[in-house]
Parts: sequence; structure tokens; C-alpha cells
Amino acid sequence: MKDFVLLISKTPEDRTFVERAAQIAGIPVRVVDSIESAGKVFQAGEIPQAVFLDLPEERSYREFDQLVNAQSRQFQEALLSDRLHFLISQNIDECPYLIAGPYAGNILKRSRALEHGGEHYGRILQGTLSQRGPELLGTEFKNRGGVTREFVLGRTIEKQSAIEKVRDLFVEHGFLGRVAEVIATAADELLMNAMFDAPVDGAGHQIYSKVDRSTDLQLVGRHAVKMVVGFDGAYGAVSVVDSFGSLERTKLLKHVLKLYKDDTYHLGTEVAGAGIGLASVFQLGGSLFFFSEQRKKTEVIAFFKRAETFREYRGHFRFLTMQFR
Amino acid sequence: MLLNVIKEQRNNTLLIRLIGAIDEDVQFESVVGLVPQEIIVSCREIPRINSIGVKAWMKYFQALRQKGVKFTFIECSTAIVEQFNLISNLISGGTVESIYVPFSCTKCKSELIGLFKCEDLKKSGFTLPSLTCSKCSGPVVFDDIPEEYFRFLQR
Ligand SMILES: [Zn+2]
Repeated sequence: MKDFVLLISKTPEDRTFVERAAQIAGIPVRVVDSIESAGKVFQAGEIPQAVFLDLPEERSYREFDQLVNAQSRQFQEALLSDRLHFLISQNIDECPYLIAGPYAGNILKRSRALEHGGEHYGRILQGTLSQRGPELLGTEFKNRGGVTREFVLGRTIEKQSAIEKVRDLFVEHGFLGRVAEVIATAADELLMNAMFDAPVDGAGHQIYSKVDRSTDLQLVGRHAVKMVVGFDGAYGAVSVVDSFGSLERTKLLKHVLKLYKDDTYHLGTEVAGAGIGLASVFQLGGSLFFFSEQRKKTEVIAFFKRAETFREYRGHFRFLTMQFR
Repeated sequence: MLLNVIKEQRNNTLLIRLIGAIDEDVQFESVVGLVPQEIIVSCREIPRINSIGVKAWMKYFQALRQKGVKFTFIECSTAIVEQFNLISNLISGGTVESIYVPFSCTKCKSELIGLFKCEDLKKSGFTLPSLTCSKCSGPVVFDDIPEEYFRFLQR
């Protein structure tokens, strides 16, 4: 694998964004303006660490698919979807081909201020290239003057008081009240997923999927759930970690992305629940980073831009990052 | 915080005020109790609703609808409006009479809300009047994306 990031785009803002992100991650960038030119890079046997691809329409996706299929098996295995970053301007529901196809790994929804998001995404890019996981709320976060707070929950019924504390913390640190409520909802959904959806038995079957979510369960041993919240001035984040590593790409896509069939969900009461929570966090301006190490751990981090107005917050670029090890 | 319900009788109609976050602990049937043929539901003090709360909400209001109960949502908080926009059938056959609209003060940066009747918003083509901040009298601006915040009213 060569030490460079490949950007396939004609857009100057994409270039500014990716160059800054790659600089943070400490990797040089090569820019080509077409999928055809990217083909020449691949033919020379050079496999980039990560590929950023501008996806203005389905045709570009098909062209990219053909290019990947024309490469050797070794190349295809090296360039897994985890390493692909799609840049889109349309809503995710307008790209069903991306969700249905085999490459949905990292999706970035542009905004007017994309070029200013490079620094933030650089750290996300670093996380995608790390074997150990994102570690975004660890020492690196604190080195930038960030503040973190850890919550260890001993029982499921401690969730509500924990999320009230999360809401209050973000308000204290200058987040808009309305954004703080979205963050509290994100913490709520992430905790519920870790407490009730993640636990699986030896055969990989969910243990609590049918259990009422108001049930008081002890969270001991492998069932322990840790939440870390943090803010670094520009962003707020909520991270929830479980020790099951049971998250599957197909389920994630089905729950978080495939619900975007229409411009809104039309829910039957029997299907409401799993997934819509996280989907609405994304719709309401949050970004999500999923990192799953099979049978070991799953960490999900939700990011929120600190802004003076809700309009500014909503206008910020968003991403969905999925990493499976 | 458990959902609190305050009931007030207004002529032939029962006003139900929902206070608190709507989540897995909400038992609408038991906290609301028996309802007449027509109810008004005030959503002013609902700061957020999670996915389990959404499920409980739909189950409860769709059952009321099947029993022929007429219900009107008033004073919907920004959190409820967001969910009406995201989930097309969350209104469950009811009527939305009024919503809170978010504003931001351009001078002191305060977050403010104003109550508007949905009928008036539609009639004005979602044009909002010039308003001033209740804290510093500075000019305030609508603080969201119009095509997103008013989407459920345009369906
Ligand atoms: Zn003011």
C-alpha cells in the first residue's frame, strides 16, 4: 500500500478539504480530475491509503464500480470500502445506488463550508486508518485543550440521569439548548443500542432484542457500557463503547441508511425503534463514526458542531463513517 | 425525568399538557387515562423524544384515531416539529394547530421561540414578521432552514 491519499474530483473546495484532512493525518495527497485518470494510477500498481471520490451522480458511481472490477483481486481486497470516502452534495436518500452497492464505507455530505471541515475530518481519517480504532476522545483530544467526562453505567435505569447530565454539560460549554437536546437524544440512542442491541450470545444471537427497553438490567462484566463526552471548542462528541463487537455492516446500512427511501420515514409501529434513532441524529445535524472490532468491541461516536445559531450548525458538513476490523 | 401529564377541562374538550422527555418509560394509556371524543394535546414542554418514545406515541395516537377520537396538537416544541418533519405519519391522523418557531437574536445571540398558528404560517407563505428580542430588543431572525422546519406543513 502506497502512502498517499487519492482525491478524484474537479472541485476546488474538495481539494482544499482533502488536502487539509490529509495534512492532519500526515499523508500526502494526489489529485486527479476523473475516474479515468484514477485508473491510470491504479494500473501503475499504486494502491492509495484512502480514496476520496466526488459523486455527483449515479453515472460516476457506475464508472468507479467498473474501474474497481477491472483491477486485480489483490487490489480489490486492499481497497476495501473502509478506505473509500464518497463526497456527495445531495441527500443520502437520493443515492440509493451507494447504499445498495458494496462500497458504502464513509459518506460525506457537503455543505457550503466544506473547506473549513478538513481539520476535523483529518482526525476522522486518522481514525479510519488506525487498527486500534478512532481514539478521538483520548489523549489527542485533551492535547488540543479539550475537556472529556466519563460515565460508567451500572444499570440500564441510570441512562436517563446520565443523558440529563450530558445535556446540561453541553449547555454549560456554550452549545445551543436545541443542539444540546439533539446531543442528549444521540447519547440516549447510543446507550440503548449498547445496552439492548449489542449483547449477543456465543452463537451471535441478540440477547435482549425483545426485552422492553424500560427493563432494569445490571450492566456488569462484558455488559458494562462506557460513555465519554467531550468538547474541544469547535466540536462536541459523545462516544459509547460496548464489549461485544456485534455490529454488522449490512444491519447498519439497513437501519441507518436504508430507511431513507422517501424524504421522510413512513413508519409502521412494529418497525419503529432500532435505527430510526441514529438516522434522526444524522438528519438533525450530527455526524456518526462507527468502529467495530468483531467480537471485541464497538465504539460509536456522534459529533456535533458548536455554532452560534442552529442554522449555522445545520449547515455544517456531516459524515457517516463505518469501519469494520 | 418521567413524563408528567396535566389535564384541564375546557368546555367539552379535554386539554392534555405533556411535560418532559418522551422515552421508554412513557405509558400514555395509564398517565392520560380515559379520554372523551375530542382532545387537545399541548406539546410545549416536550424537550425531546427518543425512538422508543416515537413508537409509543404512534401506537397511542393511532389507537385513539381508530376509536374515533379527534385530537389536535397545539404549541408543538421545536423537538416535536423536528420529528413531524422526519416521520411522515407521526401526526397519526390528528391536526397540528400551532407550533413554536425558533429565532436567534442578532445582537445578544439568545435562542428564542415564538408561537405561530399553522394556518397563518401557510397563508403567509411561511414569511415571518419582523420581531425583536425579549431580552435586549435587538432584531431577531428565524433560526433554522425554512424548507426543512416547515416541511411537514407543505406535505
Ligand atoms: Zn437579544
